[in-house]
Amino acid sequence: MSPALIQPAIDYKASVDPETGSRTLSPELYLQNLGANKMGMVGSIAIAAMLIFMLFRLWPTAKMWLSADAPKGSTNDWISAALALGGVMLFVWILIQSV
Amino acid sequence: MAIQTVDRASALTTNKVLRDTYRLLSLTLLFSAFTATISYFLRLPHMASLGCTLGAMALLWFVLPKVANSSKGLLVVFAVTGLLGVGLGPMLNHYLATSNGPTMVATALGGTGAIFLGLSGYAIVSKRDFTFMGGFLFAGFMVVILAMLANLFLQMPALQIVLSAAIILLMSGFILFDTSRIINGGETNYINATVGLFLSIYNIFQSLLLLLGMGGDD
Repeated sequence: MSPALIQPAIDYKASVDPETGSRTLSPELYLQNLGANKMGMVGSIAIAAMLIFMLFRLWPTAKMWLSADAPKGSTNDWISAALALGGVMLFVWILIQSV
Repeated sequence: MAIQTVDRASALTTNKVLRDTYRLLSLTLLFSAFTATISYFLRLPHMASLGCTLGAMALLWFVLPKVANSSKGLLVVFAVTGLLGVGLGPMLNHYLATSNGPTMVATALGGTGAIFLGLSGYAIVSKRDFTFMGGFLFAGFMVVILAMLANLFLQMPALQIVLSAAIILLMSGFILFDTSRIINGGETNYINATVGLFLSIYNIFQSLLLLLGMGGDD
């Protein structure tokens, strides 16, 4: 089972210029629109607490998989995994360009 | 002869776990989409969304490990996925309100489905054991959590983009890892297997939607 990790429920939204309606990466607009700000300090602290707890929960599992007894892959194994993951990143890039 | 019988029994068990996992995964995804739709129409506030996500996490960490081997585990899985679906509501509200929001959400949904089917299919067809990626995936995820923690207060858009891409990469790795564990007998509990795959899909969808929102021209 993969770790019990999910992203916090921040409203990760694009920064939209209210005047032009265009999407931009302006840090000011981004911060203004970031959902975490809407949740305020309490929300940020709750998310931070959850992430810190996740780190503690994950540490023993990570240690186990990083130990010397954990399965090791050959060069071919890593190449096949890298090709699959590279394909995913290429696909994501194509999706971003298409929207 | 005896070895062949054992091999056959093992393959049948693996097929059953895989079949049960995909069946439960389909049902939980449908249920999650249903609760996300309700949350969208109710226009729940961000704090309610955060509360639902924290509730789902609590069930996942404290309740599921105790009931994963019983029928109660099924109820907990539906509760977790339902709450996570509710947690998506405010995010969907935002994106669907933008001019090309429906296209973005549909693209993220279709893209997530394609990534999952492609990677899961690859792991099944190749029958390769991807458990060697465990160390890389878990270590990578700890780094991502630390960076998320930092960005919660730094709020750097560039770091957010990098984190989303890293999450998609790691979750894709987890799909290979989880599917290969089911195929090779490393995971025999279909409830745990379903939750693992569900979380990977959920995270990919969230991160892909963020990247599409930031990368697309409106």
